[in-house]
Amino acid sequence: MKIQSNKKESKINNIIAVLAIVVVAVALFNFVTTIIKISDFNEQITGFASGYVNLTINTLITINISRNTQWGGGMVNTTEGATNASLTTIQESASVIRGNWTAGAKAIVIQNLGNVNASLFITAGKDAAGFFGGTPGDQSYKWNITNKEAGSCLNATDVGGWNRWADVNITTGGTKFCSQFGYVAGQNEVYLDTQLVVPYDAKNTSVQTDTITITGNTAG
Amino acid sequence: MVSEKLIIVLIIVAIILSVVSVAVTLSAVNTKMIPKIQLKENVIPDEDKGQVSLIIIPSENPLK
Repeated sequence: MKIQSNKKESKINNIIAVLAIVVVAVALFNFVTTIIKISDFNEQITGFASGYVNLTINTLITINISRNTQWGGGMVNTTEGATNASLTTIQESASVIRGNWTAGAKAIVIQNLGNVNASLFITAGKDAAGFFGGTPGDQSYKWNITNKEAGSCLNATDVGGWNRWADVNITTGGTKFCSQFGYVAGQNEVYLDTQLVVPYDAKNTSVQTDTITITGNTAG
Repeated sequence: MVSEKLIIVLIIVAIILSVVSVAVTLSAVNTKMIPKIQLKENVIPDEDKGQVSLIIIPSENPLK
């Protein structure tokens, strides 16, 4: 009986020994494989470099003007004693006072069609004197920038025309209105309304145009 | 018959090899496989031009 038990124990020990050898073999294989694979991977991915990977992301700002402000022809109602006429765009509509222009103009629409928020700078090409050349007290050229889509211009700064009328800025670089002009559809459009007070004695007559430069740059 | 000591030694060797294998893997991955990334944002500015235009017809002096 005891001899039989010893034999059985011996058999189990042998099996465990074989299993242990298999385990060692597998572990050894695992160890060697790991080292070989990591070595290959290291060579392919990093070229043995242990430094830095420089990753440059090009962020695209695309400023687009989808609509200009175009008034037709008209004159100051001097026959009624007016010395100037006021032409104002009010987003999607317009008003004309003391003049006979057709109130069909609309605000300029500025869009950010890029893939990143941008800062928004606006510069006019002419001031009132350059635009009309008439009596100073009877002429003005102002702008008013507002959101067309809510949330388009975050961190808006009123430094001369955000949500209020202010004389246009003709200095190089212009006025910064938004530090975060959004690019997401539905939140990426602003209005640029203009108000022209045309003097009766404007020296610049017939077709008069001012070109406004809108610049998008790094947000913030 | 295989001695019990030999079995214990073999199992301990297997465990050590496994542990070393894991340690080598983690060490290699942490120090070499994931290099530090320096992100550089290259912003390309853009500009567009809008126009405000009107036609002014000369009018008489209302003060005459």
